Amino acid sequence: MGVAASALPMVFLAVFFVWPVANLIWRGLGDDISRLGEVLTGERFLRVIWFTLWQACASTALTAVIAAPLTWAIANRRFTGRRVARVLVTVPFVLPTVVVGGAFIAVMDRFGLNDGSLRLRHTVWAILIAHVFFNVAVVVRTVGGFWSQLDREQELAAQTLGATPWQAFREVTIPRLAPSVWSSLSIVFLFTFTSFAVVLLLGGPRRSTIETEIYRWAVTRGDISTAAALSVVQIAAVVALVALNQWLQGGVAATSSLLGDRAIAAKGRRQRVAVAAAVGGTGLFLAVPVVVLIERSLRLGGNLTFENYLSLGDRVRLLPVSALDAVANSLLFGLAAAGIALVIGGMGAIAVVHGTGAIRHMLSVGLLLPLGTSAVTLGFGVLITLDKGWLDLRSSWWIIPITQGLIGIPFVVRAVVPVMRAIDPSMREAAAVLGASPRQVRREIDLRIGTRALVTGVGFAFAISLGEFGATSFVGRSPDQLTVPLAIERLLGTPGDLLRGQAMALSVILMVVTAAVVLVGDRVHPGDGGVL
Amino acid sequence: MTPTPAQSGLSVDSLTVRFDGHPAVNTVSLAVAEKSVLALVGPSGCGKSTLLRAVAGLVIADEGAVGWNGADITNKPAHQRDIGLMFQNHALFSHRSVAQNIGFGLRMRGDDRLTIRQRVGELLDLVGLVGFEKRQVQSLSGGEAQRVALARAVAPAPALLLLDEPLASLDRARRVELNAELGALLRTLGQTAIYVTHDQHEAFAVADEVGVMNAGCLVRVGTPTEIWNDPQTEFVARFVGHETIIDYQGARWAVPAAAVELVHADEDQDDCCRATVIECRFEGDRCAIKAADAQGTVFTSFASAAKPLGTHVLLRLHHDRFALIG
Repeated sequence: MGVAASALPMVFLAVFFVWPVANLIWRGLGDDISRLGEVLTGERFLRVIWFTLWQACASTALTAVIAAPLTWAIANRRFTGRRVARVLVTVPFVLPTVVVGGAFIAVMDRFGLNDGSLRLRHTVWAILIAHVFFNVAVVVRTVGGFWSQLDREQELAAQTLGATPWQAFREVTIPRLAPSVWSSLSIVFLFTFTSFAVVLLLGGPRRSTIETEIYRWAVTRGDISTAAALSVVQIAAVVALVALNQWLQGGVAATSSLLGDRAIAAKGRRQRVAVAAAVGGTGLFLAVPVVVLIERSLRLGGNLTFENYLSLGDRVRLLPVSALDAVANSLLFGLAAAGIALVIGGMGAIAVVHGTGAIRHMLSVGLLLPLGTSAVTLGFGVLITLDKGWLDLRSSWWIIPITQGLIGIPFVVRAVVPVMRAIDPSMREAAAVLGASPRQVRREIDLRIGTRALVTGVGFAFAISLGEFGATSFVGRSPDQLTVPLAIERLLGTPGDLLRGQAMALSVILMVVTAAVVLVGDRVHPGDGGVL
Repeated sequence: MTPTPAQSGLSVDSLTVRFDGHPAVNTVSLAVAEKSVLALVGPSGCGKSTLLRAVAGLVIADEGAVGWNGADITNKPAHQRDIGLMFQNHALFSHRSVAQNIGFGLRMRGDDRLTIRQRVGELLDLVGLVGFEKRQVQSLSGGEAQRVALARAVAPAPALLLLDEPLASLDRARRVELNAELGALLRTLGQTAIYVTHDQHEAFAVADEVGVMNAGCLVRVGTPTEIWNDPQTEFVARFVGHETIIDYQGARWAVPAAAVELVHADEDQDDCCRATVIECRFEGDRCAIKAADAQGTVFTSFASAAKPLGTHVLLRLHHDRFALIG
């Protein structure tokens, strides 16, 4: 088991991740090096890179501002529904990107924001607001979670030394919080920098980020060299961002004196109003798109009806198969991807916890790499690499769950490894002296204790696979392999009451399934399954 | 001290375990005969727990050998040694019930369910926890967890049972009570065992033989009486509880409280020395009195009533009850 546990994940990573990404970089550099020069100097590409950067900066700053009140309230005040608020705020984050795109299109339809003086459609504001909607959870959960565990003693000490509450906050609390703030904001920046579906759906034809630009060059124009050159730029940027995030996260781990929970009951009318405003305001902002999406899915020709749902079985001309077939496809791919994430992620976690030397180190880094890789570069890499000889997977439906499973593996590893690492070593020794072989120890102790985390991680992998759009838009090229997110994107791209209604209905189905998986996962294994 | 190879029971031969080059256990040799209990005592960090883990096969010895009934088991992995270990923190499997914890070793060796259930019932009866099968281990009190840990360790009837400070996590009163129970139980089972503790009273209460360790070395082995009466070194004398050590007739002696008599003023006082009470500790049915003589040597004696500090007393020393240190 020792050898198999590390060998299979190593081979899987090497074939389905390292090779495709390396090949993509090779094509980007080697095919036509002048293309990379054009990308780095051409006015069109510079505009794209510049837009990618500044929209990510703006989204991150806006997220920080919007998330601050709720982060404060959840970390510092006890109130009814605090735990529920903590879980529900995560829902937008785990929603598939096309669902968020669909929800904001529904909001713009509903409140007449498609034109006129309040036009939101195809503006950068639509992108920014959707990014904030997505990422509020990152700040609330990482900073709020960390903050709620910081003891109050040091602030109280500052106050006994003559600091006002505000001075104590500025001099003591903020410096202690800073590492978690920078760490969470760098994650938000990474997510918005590599955001794909939201930009594609809400930005319109003229707004392009590196991610959507790769897609347009590769899929729409079929110019692999240019797309590969753009991918090199994207990969370099992402590697730099991930390195920055790792460096910032080191500070979070190093901070000491963590407690259970620092929150106290809100005292006085002013504080209660402040808590209510923070929770209610943010809640409203996060709930409106979801509610409007559901309402739109129930409306056809001005009437409230289930027709959008009931018609999902009929084939519309725009789609190669019926929407219901797409649901069946997504479930099949999702199950297969979850199975891959279970086997590779589970074995990988055991190898990371029990392994030794270089292989353990390579796996502990390698198994998390797909998390930091943009979905578009991953899908593109797989598409142009696994097309030869016995590894010609382009025509096989397995290419989809393999790619999606790859994205799910880090979630399994991040959920399981900390749980297994936290097992008291004397428990394994106790099993050994009671006659359990090393193999039995892993099965009886590590796997048993890690089961809940494993289930949660695999659940996440399943949910991610259901909603995966970026990579699937590359590898899911065959018409009969249409998945729900791909169907939603096509339906949203074409005007028409029924088409849009069907898109919304599919979005609601996808939202309900992913939210359910995540909420159940949170009950089974409190925490966030390593999502944040 | 090197055991003969054909000896029954455990033999440890010149065992050395190093951590980062520093010997935690330094060329220790010892033997434990079958059905006897050896207590290992010594200050914390003296290497007794490491020695225990080396015997269990949980740490690899750098040098030396471990044998059982003459067979070399130095290189056997822990799960094949047939040696049980009761952990200091109990190390109960938090994800399993009491019955599943106790039955774990039986399941590992392939016993069938019925046998396991019967044996678990017997063991719960033995440790006084009848009906605890379904309880979750997190819900147990310290004393209950300790009993479950003991039942789990003895369930597979290991050839040798190792106990690593098994009572350390309990409060004092429970410790004394369970210590006595544990000793009786080991004798009832005829269990060969090594019992590690830093408390000499615990050691004396359970053991046939006591080994005293210091800085990685085994410095003295003997029955409790032998060690108390003939500690041989000042370290051993102090560690087993001798507080007063004096030079007398060209040798060093430990003076136990039993060798110090408080003399009434009206008695014959020729062979007595004068001393002043410097401490009087009330112990319920008696008082432990410490008194310093003119040279500043402090003697301990017991009296039925308390004496105020500063009282002048007469002490008679019974030289025949002194323990020679050498």
